[in-house]
Amino acid sequence: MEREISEIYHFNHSDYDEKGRSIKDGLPFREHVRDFERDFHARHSCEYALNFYSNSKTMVLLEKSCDAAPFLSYGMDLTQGTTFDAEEDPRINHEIDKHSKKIIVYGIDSAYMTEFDEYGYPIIDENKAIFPLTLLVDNTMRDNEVRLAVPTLGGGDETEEVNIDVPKPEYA
Amino acid sequence: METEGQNRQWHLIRNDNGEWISDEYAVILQPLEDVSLKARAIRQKKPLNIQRNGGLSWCYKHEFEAIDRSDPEPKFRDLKLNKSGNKHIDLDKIFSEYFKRLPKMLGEE
Repeated sequence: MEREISEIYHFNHSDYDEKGRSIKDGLPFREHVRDFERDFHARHSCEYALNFYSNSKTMVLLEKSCDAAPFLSYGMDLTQGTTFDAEEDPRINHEIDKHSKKIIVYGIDSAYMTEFDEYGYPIIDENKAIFPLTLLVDNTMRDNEVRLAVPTLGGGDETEEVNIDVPKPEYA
Repeated sequence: METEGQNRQWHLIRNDNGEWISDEYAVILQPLEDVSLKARAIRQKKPLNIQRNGGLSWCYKHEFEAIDRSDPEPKFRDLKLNKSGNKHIDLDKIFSEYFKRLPKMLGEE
C-alpha cells in the first residue's frame, strides 16, 4: 500500500437535512467537500486530494447531496487495512459489485476538474495529477469526520511541500 | 484515481452527474438508437436515464434490459390539415395584405 499525505476535516451530521443539504445555508454537503479539497490544495500546494475516506453514514450523506440515483452506491470498501490499495481494492470491489444490488460509484469529479472538452467531458489533467476523487468507506472513522489524502512516494521524494497557514474550515 | 491498471479488463465511465462507475454497467447506444429506445421506454412506462458524455450516448444496463426492444416502432401517420385534404394557402394574398397594413402599424399614416 502507498503512503499518503492526508488531512482530516470535521463537520456535524445534524447540520444537514435528509437530502444532504445544509440546514443553515442550503448548500449540499458535496459543496462543503469541495471546500475541503480546496483547503487541502492550499495546505499542500503541489498536491490535489485523490482519495476521500469516510464511514458509511457520511458516504450516504455525500450520496444524497449529489442527488445520486437510487441504484447507485457510493464508495469502495477498504479491504487491505485503512489505506487505499490501488490494485487490490478496485479489483475486489469490482467482484463485489457483480453480486451487489446496487452499482458502485468508484469516484466523483474532483473540485478541480473544471475544464471540459468539446463533448462536455471533463479533462483529466495528468500533469497536475488531477483525477476523480476516489470514494473509500472506512468504518473505523467517526461520523463527524472525513479524510482527504493523496499518495506520496515517501522517503526520497524530491517534491517540496509548501504548507500555507490557512484556517481549517469546520462545519460544526 | 487512475482508470486503468494491471490485468484490468474493465474501465470507468462517467455519467452526467459526475459519477464514475464500471463501464460493464453501461450500454453504448448507436446514433438514433437512443431516440427509439426513449420512445419505447415512454410507451412501456419504464425508466431510462440516457447519459450523454464524451461524445457518446449510453444508458444503464439494467434499464436497457428492462425495456422490451421487440416492441415494434409506431408507423408515422400522415398529417392532415382538414377533412378535405391539404388547404391551399395563398401566400401572395397574405403578404400583400400585411404590407398594406404595415404603414398604419408603424404610425406612418
